[in-house]
Amino acid sequence: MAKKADISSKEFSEFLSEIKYRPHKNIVSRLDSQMFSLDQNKVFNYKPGQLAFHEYKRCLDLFESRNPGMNPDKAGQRIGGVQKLISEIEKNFKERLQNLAIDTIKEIYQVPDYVDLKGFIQPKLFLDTDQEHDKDAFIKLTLEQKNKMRDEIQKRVILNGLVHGSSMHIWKGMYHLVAEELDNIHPDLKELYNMYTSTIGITLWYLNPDSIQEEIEQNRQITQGLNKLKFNKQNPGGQVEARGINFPVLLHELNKGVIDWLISAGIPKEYTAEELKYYYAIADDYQNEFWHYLLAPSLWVDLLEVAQVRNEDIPKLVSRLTKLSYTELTELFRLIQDNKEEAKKTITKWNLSFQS
Amino acid sequence: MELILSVVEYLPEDFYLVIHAPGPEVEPGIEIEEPETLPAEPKIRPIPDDDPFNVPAPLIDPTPKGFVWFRTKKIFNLFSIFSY
Repeated sequence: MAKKADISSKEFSEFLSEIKYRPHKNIVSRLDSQMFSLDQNKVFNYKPGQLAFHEYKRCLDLFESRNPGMNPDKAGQRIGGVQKLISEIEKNFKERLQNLAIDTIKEIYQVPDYVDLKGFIQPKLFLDTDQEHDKDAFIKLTLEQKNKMRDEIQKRVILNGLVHGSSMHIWKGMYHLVAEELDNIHPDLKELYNMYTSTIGITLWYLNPDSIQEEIEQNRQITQGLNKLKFNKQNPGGQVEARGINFPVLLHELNKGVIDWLISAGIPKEYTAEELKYYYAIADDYQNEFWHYLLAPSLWVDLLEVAQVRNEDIPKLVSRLTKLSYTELTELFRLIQDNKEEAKKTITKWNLSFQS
Repeated sequence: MELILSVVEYLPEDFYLVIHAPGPEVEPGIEIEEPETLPAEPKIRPIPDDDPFNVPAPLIDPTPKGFVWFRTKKIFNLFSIFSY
């Protein structure tokens, strides 16, 4: 088994030593001291500073290239204004943009018709993050039952990381795939999306994670988008429902929904309803999402670099990952962070490679 | 019969070939009609086991996943006064 995480390394601070604009001091201190909501997970507590730094650098570079001369830690001030302009344009083309988003994601991943993708642009959204509606699941289960579920829960935390990580990574530029259609709708849209996505991407790093925890506990967060899965209980298939406040967020949510659908193959079949509720409540805790936004994109980028899959093969790769145990996933993702050449060999050995 | 087969060859899959047998009230011939309704038993293509999207339904649907933004005091104030 790989070595234990080193909590005294201050790894993130060291990575940031040459960087002019630093993330919020509480993000830095929480990652340095390895005290954040994913710190029980053996993939996310291994080298969080490295995962964070690579994503922070990508966000910073993207922001600076799209917004030359603008101070990134002040950029959050314009998000409301940019969104207002986007909404003004999008309101006249909503159906066209919704269909464009669905078709784009469907084509990238070759989603079959029996998984019905639904996408809606909705400038005002609310996601209920209060996950304690049903306390029975927590009370009825014994400590022994909960302990037995620990590895499955942590496995889902890693897979959830792929859901959020892939979406955080690709939404920043995926709409360029349909640049021509967007230009036909309105010549300013693409530039507004460039501003919006690069600004959201970097501004997340300047938020105080401790205030965010409070916001989520009080159910006061602002929803950009959400995705819901509805599985048919009799026949195969079902529905992925995605909602976003604008077109790039809808793409993000549809991508999230498709990867979320695929990782659902990893949900244990033998769990009772109470066990399943507990499993979702812990693994899908909304407190985790903020840290997934910051750390998981690097896991996704590294995975794709090592596996070298074509877009249409990504579903197969994700599907096979769901079949691995928590221990195997930990081994793979730690190796990916340590040594990409060795990780490539493991990917091939474990039949996770789809190179043609 | 040869004529019928040669027509069938060029028909799209979702077209019906209706052949009226010659009778006292019907002129002999071939009539091609588009069906008004779908067949009662639509063809269901089997989904291969190795299709990654063929995911068994969990007992309970998973928790919706969000993409949320946060209202820090500074950003909240600016949200309300800022005009682009």
